[in-house]
Amino acid sequence: MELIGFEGFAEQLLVELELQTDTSPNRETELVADLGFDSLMYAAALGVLGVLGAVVDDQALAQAFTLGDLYHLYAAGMVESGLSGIEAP
Amino acid sequence: MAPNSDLETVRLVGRNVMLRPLGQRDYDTLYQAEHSEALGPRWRLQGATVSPENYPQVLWQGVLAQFAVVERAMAHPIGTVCAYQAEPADGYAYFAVADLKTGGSPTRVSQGVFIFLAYLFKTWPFRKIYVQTMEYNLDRYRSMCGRLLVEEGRLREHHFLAGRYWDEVTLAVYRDVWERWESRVIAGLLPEAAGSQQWN
Repeated sequence: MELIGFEGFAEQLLVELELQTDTSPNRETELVADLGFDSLMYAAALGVLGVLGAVVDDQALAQAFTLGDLYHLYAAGMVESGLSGIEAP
Repeated sequence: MAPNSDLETVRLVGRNVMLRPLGQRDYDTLYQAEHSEALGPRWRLQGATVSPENYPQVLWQGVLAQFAVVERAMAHPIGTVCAYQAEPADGYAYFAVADLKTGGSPTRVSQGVFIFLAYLFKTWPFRKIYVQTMEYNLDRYRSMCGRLLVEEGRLREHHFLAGRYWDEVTLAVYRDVWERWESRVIAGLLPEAAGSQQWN
């Protein structure tokens, strides 16, 4: 699986979780205030990250407040999984 | 694919949490939680008390399947999940979750919920799983309402607590909706997700 860019990531995440935003999703879109995240949705988001091939620490997920934070975890998780083609430092 | 490989899709173990049978070693923890100020009035007993001797009967009454949600490498439960009042002929059962508020990762009990729903739909041919909850506990499911969960019924001002009456709400997870979510979302919580590690 290849690392996808933020726009593709955000679009896929919102589709899989059946979420909609009033405005175009961006890195500052807040998970709780704008998308209605709660603990079930955080767990579901963790599942989407896993399906995309990212290995993400669920403790770190609790510190994700925006879509940009989630993308950062996804990108780091792809490196961790070794699936992105990018080697971990 | 081996003939019995489908059986391997019935899972109790996730990447971060697993479901293990409730045993006598858990009874005191659950008894204390179920009689606590924080959880007692909002949970199954709704503020009533039962004797420690009778508690196991209360815990298992009408239960089809019940597990403790535990974190990796930890034995003590962070929550429980339960299926009860199953009606196989009609293809439904009820589901309940209790978060024991142990202060761990807030998503882990929720991960246990998804693993348990997968277990129920894989193990029995249920058409739908009901969630019966009081209005004051509805926030537990809010983000899934209109997505994985649909509201099927509401008894208005049904239950008294803290000086007012609250609605009792029945939500449902339908099998076809579940299967869509399972392949696109929930599969990523299980060990076979890319790069995940097996439990020791």
